[in-house]
Order: sequence, then C-alpha cells, then structure tokens
Amino acid sequence: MFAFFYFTLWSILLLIAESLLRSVGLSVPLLGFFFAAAAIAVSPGMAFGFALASGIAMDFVLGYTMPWDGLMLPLLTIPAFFLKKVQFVPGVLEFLAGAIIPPVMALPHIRTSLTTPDGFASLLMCCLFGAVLFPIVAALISHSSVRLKIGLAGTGAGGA
Amino acid sequence: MASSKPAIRPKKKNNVPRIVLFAAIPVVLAALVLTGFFTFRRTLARFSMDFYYPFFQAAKHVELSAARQALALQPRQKLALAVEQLQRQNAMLAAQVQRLREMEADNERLRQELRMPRWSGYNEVYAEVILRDPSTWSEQFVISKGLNDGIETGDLVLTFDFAPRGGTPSCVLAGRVVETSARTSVVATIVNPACRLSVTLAESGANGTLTGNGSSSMTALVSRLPLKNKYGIGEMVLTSGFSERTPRGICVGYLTDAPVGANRAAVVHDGGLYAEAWMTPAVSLDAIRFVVVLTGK
Repeated sequence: MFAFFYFTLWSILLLIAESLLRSVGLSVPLLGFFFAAAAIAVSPGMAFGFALASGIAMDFVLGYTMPWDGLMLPLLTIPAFFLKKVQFVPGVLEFLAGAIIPPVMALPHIRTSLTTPDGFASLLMCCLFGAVLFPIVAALISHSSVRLKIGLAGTGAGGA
Repeated sequence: MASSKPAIRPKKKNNVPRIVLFAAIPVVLAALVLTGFFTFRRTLARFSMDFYYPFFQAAKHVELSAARQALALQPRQKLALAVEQLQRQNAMLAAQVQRLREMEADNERLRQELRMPRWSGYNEVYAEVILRDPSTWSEQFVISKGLNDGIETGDLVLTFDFAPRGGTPSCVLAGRVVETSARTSVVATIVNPACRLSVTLAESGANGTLTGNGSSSMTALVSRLPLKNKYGIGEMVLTSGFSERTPRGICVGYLTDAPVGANRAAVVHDGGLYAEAWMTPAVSLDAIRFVVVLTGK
C-alpha cells in the first residue's frame, strides 16, 4: 500500500516537472528515469502499471491524439522483469541506461527531432544529460526504497 | 502395498514456443492500451487536463511575476517611452473599434431591412500558452482557457503580428481549437496536419482548402484551387468565412516556394483538375505566448 502512494506521489510530481520542462523547450524524460530505476529497485509490476498510466496522462495533458508516451514509458520497465532486484551503485551500466532512455522516449517523434534545426544536437545533449542524471536518480530511488522499506527492503534483497 | 516411488507424471508437451508468448504479451498489451486510449480518450483527457491545470497555472503565475520583476529593472526612460507608444496605439485602436461599432450597427440595420438572419458575431477570449512539447513545438500547444470560458472545438485562434508586411499591427490566424476541457484547450496550429480550413487568396480571389504540412517544413498546402487563375509567390491567404465559426478576411499567411524535398513547384496542377500552392504562416508560430480565441456568441 505504501509503495502505491510512493508511486502515485512521484508520478504526479514528475509529470508536472517534465511537462513544465518540456514547455520551456527541455525534453528531459524524468518519468522515464524514475520508472526505469523504480522497476528494478522497487517493483517491476507496479512500475509498469504506473508508467502506463503516467504516460497516457502525459499524452492527454499535452494534447496528443496518439498515446506515444503511454507506449514508450512502460517499455522502459520491461527489462526489469528479467533482472534480479539489486541496489544501484553508480556504474557504467547506469550511465549507458541513462544515455539510452532519452532516444527511446523520443522514438515516436524521431523524424521531427532529426529534421528540425538543432534537433539532433539537442537529442545528443539530452543523452549526455541522461547519462549523468540517471545514476543519481537510480541511487536515490534505491536508497529511499531501502529506507522506506518498500521493494528491496520488503523482499529482503536490499542492503548491499 | 503402495509403492514409495512417486508416480512419474508424463511431461506435458508445450506446443507454443516461449518466444511466441513473450512476443505476444507486448502486442496484446499495446492493443489493450490503444483500445482503452481511444475508447475513453475524451473523458480521460478532460479529467487529466483539469487535474493538472492548477499546477501549470501556478507555474505560469510564477513565470509572469518574474517577467514583471525583470521589466521593472529596465531604465525608467525606456519604460516611459514604451508606455507612451502603447497609449498612442491604444488611442488608435479605440478609434478603430468605434468605427467598427458604427459599421456593425449599420450592418445590423441593413440585415433587418433585407430580412436576413441576424449575424450573431463572435466573442474574443484572451488566453496564454501554458504548455508545449519540443517535439511538436510549432504544431500544437495548450492554452489556459476552456469550456468554462465558452471555447469549443473548432474555434479559431488568433495571435498578434507586430511587424506585418502591410505595416499596421494586426491579428493573424494561429490555428484552431482541437480539444477542450473545462479550463484548458489544445490548439493545432496552421502547420499541423490536423488543422484544415477554407481559405481565399487575396489577389486572385480563388478559394481553396488549407492543410498543415508539419513543423519540419513550417508550411501548409493550399489545395483545390481553380486552374484558370494565376497565383504568384507572396500572395496573401485569408480565411474565406464559409464556415459558421470562421470570420472572413483574417490573414493566414503568404504563398511561398515549395519546401525542400517537396519535389513540387510553388503551384502545381493536382491531377489536372485543381491547382495547389504552398503557404508560409504570417507569423512565427514558435514564439506565440498569448492568443485570442474567437468564440460564437
């Protein structure tokens, strides 16, 4: 139950933050980072469900007629179903995952991203930003899930 | 005596390979998501937009307050000059409004004499852009007014052109409302393929249909133009007023060269029946911050 509120709160807050960042021209997939990390550190099933709901809500808020975020966000949580629950320690894999998330989220609009002036450059910048930000987000979520006794701590797998 | 050996159950033959199951799950999920999305789209969209509205509006208030504070840092002389210029512009606009009111009264009287149906006119709703997405920056945006303010799907959205080709600052067409909730609306700009409207060319007087061509080229296509007319680059495109929700004579843009990669000239024959031409918007759609929505009275 606590995990449910944890996901609800972060989904709402990050959706607002990501929408506002998009409105000033910054495409930073905060929800993507959160759900990719929370799926491994907390619960893949719950992360998948919330990613789906948040993605669709994001599409509605931005007025899209197709559920692009609703399809792409849950995709980021699928690898977690095949991974063991681990506590994150910033490493090369986290940097790589962080760099991959922005292009995955931009996939439905990749044509626009590559054809508009500075589109490719901004996508590249976003990848670099993601590579730096994702390990921090992952470590924070992992740490908080242990402290709040959800996910890792709940299953007894935490405490690296 | 029962045997201590456990009975060996025959292993069930698994006819469906595992890989097919793994591939089927995302497909089924995607199908479910799409079905749910399109079934409950309108209701859920309205709920989501209204739920998040106060947060976005609060952020907008902070931004506007910061902009006001930044404005206060400008030199007083510069601000005084700007105020003076605005007062002059205001006086000119007030005079124009007065003239238009007289014309409206005349129009009303003549319509009564000719027993024509009464023209209801339009209300103007002033709104600000609260949300945009970088991937569709020039194609659509969300504004801060919705059903509560009388805005409906299909209403025209205008913006201001302070440096037009004609000289006098005026309102030009930015797009059309495609989705509304109680407190917000989604606007598809004239380069968005979802935005279609009937237009008239100013010099030739020909009527056509305008369809957005996407933000990568920042153009729109005017199709179904009569073949007999001649069309030149730079010709002004205006709203035709054929639709009930569309007033006549609002500047939309100007005819232009074909965008790169379009593989077409500025004006081409569409299968020998009609001509079509490319149009560039009258105003930069990237920098729109405030709009006026024309709603039916």
